[in-house]
Amino acid sequence: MPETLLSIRNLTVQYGRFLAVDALSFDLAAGSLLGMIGPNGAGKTTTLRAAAGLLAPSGGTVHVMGYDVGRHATAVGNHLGFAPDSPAVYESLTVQEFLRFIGDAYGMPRRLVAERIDMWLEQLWLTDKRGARVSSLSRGMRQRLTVARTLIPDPHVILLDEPAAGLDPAGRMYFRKLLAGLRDQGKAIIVSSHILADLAEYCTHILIMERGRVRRFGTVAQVTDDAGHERCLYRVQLAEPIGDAAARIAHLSGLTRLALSGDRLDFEYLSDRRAAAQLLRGMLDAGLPVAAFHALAPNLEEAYLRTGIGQVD
Amino acid sequence: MSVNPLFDVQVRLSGGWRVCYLFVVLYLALIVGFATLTYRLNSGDPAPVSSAWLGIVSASQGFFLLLAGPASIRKAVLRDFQTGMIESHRLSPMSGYKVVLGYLTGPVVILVALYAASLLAGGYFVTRVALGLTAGQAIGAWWGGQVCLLTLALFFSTLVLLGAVASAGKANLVGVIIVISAFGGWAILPLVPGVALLGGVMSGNVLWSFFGGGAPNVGAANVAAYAILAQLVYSTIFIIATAQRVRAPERPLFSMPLAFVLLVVTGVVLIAGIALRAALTTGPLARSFADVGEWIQIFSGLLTFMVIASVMLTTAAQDRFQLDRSALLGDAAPAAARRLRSATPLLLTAMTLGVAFGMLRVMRPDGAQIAVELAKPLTLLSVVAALAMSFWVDFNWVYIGRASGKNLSRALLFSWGILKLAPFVADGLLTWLSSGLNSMAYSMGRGYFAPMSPFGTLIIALIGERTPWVGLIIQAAIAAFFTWAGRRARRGLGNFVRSTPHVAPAA
Repeated sequence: MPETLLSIRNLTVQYGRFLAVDALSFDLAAGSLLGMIGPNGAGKTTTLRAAAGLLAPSGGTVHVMGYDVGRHATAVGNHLGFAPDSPAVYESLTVQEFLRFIGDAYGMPRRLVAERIDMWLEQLWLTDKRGARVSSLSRGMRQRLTVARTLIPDPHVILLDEPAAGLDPAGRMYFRKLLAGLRDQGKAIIVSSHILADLAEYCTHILIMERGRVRRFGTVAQVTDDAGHERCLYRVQLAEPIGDAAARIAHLSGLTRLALSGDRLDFEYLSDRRAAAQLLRGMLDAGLPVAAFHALAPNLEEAYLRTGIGQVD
Repeated sequence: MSVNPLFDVQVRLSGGWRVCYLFVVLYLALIVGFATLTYRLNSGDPAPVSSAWLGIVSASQGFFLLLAGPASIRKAVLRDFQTGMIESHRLSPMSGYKVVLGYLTGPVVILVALYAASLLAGGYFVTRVALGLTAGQAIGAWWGGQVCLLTLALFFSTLVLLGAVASAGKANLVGVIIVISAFGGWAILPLVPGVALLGGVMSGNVLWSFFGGGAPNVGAANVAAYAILAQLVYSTIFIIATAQRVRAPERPLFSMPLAFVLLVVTGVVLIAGIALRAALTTGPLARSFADVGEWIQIFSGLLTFMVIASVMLTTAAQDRFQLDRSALLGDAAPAAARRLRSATPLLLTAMTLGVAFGMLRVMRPDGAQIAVELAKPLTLLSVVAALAMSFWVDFNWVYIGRASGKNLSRALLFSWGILKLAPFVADGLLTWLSSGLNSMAYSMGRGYFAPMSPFGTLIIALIGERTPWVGLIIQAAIAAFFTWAGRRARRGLGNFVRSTPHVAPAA
């Protein structure tokens, strides 16, 4: 299996005079999970559709497992799964009939299809809906069914357009674990989403797009630390509320955006570990009863806002 | 693993096999009950029973295969576009042909089962009970008619499927044909015998003569064979085009080679239609053919050919646009391939002339005089110039439309409407006004604006009048304008290509 599962080179998509995607290039290796961010009309869905072979690009190429998407569509079909933002289903079939049709369409043996249906229905909390008509499912259930439809053929490259839209909080939490699991299995995954906090948790790479162009691309750490931002947010949990906690440490140099909320203290400081250790010592010296002290996960929302795109959907 | 998953799922969506069996049993009960009732009402005389029963069966067969079948196919395609399932099929490793066969067979399984039931029951009646018919000939004609019906149904279904896939299920060709027929569309058949041949009307006319009571038109029986062959070839072309379209929806409907084959076959069918029309000696269609002037049939045939030629022209212009854009974006786009696309108008001009002389050749002796007139150097030059400029203008018009993201079929219709047909409309209006004022005589050939249209030039050549050079000069001016506009559109493609910093691949 080649290490690079998805390769996009100079992908350009024009709709008449409108340039939806402008010379986009990147590779995605096995075990990579790329989160695509951008305002509406940035070109995320267009990129995904072109990568899936549903849209002929005006220029450039897309290769999946070494196959050119435009020239070897059927071969690509065996390796690529795409879940569009609006579920594509046959309403009058039952969940099981629909998934069996998908398995047949991918030329899978009936026994394997049955096993995979059992597995994914269970993993996506749809087992009790096996015999229900698709038309009777809620939006969130349909979304999960679409994910099941995408995963049943066990593709190596998975493209998901707004997969968490319509999921309840528990569903979203479970979905994050599911994606992390797929990533760890060595799949190459692209997820387009507006839920930035989720993306920061499970993505290995982030691509920020605007008007068809790339604004930022790299690992999550690279994107969030982009442009020399060597600082991060810290959260300190105090053993008890201290009214003047902020004042006690305000003299420490380098502290910014200090905010006290009850027994919780948030601020921005250098992300370097030695500096963090000195900071902790300083807080203890100031008499603060520190119960917990940790750097918050890289803040994707801030990184996104730093690009200056502005519109956050 | 299923042989054709789409067939299976479409059967299930149509109600499944149980519903299919139920319909067959009900249908058989209905027609046998009808036969029994008619038999009793006619005091045991089998003749009226046979003819009435066979009439009902034939009508229902036509309804199943020619109306309900194609309508079901189109409905299935529309549903898959609306639900997004067509994209699901595209994502799967199913080949385009598998998808096409799934659509052609799955949605119509109940209708085909009903047809098969009627075929078995009808076959039994024709061979054992239909005593009112002339034994040998009628039986052969009935079975021959079944073959004609099946190939016509295949032709029509593949055409409807192609239209549905190309238009996201919106094009309702069944409805369009019904409406055109209801508003006198049948009038086109005597004008273009090739359409009558392909549409099975000639075959129907021949087969009808076996049942009509008079002398059967046995000598023209090969008309049915030609029609069957033509329908099968067209169906194959449509299936290939649909399969390609399913896999690559944004590419032209027909690839260049396929468009070329379609055009060649169309030319052959148009020439065969002219040749075979003389073989029809009985029936209403034969009388209609005889009533139409030769040059009108030639002109109508060429007009039909030029409409079909638009398919290849559109493909060439779109390909040229795509190659030009690819070249600008740094992709492979050989200059020779681009030049070849631009030479398509010349190829189409040669093909149109070939079809014209082919039709005149088989029209002997009536076509001989027209051929002599058309072969005169100046006349031929004017026709060649008019056709080449017409195709060139359309080529550029489509190219410009593609470059600016316009609807191509609308652009082409506009080109035909403004540059080719409007001069005739203007002439008609002028004639109507002038005849109201001073009863000025009007002749199509000497029309005021008609010579500005390539069709006008063609008509003038066919009726043997002097070439209107002023009209040709105006056509040349229009062609020059579109050459300039096409080049401008080509240069404008570069305006959209911007470069962004290349992003390093992920580590």
